[in-house]
Amino acid sequence: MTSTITATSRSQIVGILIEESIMAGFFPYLAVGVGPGTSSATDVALFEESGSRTEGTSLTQTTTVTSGDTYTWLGIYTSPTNQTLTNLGLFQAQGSPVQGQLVQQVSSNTQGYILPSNYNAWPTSYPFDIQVSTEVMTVTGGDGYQTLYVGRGQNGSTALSSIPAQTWITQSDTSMFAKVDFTGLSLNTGDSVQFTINVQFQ
Amino acid sequence: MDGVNPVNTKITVHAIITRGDGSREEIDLLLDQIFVKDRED
Repeated sequence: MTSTITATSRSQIVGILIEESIMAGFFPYLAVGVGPGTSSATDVALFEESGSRTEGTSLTQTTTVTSGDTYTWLGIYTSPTNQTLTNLGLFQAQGSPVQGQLVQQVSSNTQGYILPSNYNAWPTSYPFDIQVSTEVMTVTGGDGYQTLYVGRGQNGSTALSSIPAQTWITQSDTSMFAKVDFTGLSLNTGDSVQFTINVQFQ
Repeated sequence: MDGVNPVNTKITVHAIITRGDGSREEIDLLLDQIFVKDRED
């Protein structure tokens, strides 16, 4: 047995996504990351987001296989520093997330707390989600000093049995529309990259 | 078969890099089978 959405549906999905941006009055923003990890649909942030987000310069409906099946984002990113990009994402929001690092490893998949490097930078309104490596956690409270209390393996992610110290913690941004990771794109300060990102619906 | 038919996507990223010395490189970052997550309003 076989099932599929039709070519018409593919085109409609792309059309609706683009219409949303037109209605919002801006194109989605590109964010880049420099941390390790493999992207998953459960992710709520990049792996160690770097620098500011860049608005797209165009958004068009294009054809890869069936008519209008592809969402094409075009934008230019200028690297503010020497860095190796390992992942990137498209977001509907421009603001950068709060980020920190674990100062102590997470040593089991049931450990209900983490110690961030910058406790006071994190929101004090709970709950909120964070990305820690490939795992999503929900922060449910804090001790007012150094400890964030967390629920593990949220949003369909898998609770990790061990997460090393220094691993980056990134605040959830549910405006993330797509995320990709790759081996590494080495850039020097001032290098300019014209990105064409195609999302083809199949 | 339960009729579940998740929307499959194929994402490609093409990068044209202009270096500080004016040289240019083009790279396809070769990305398949990633995902699309609907915007949450």
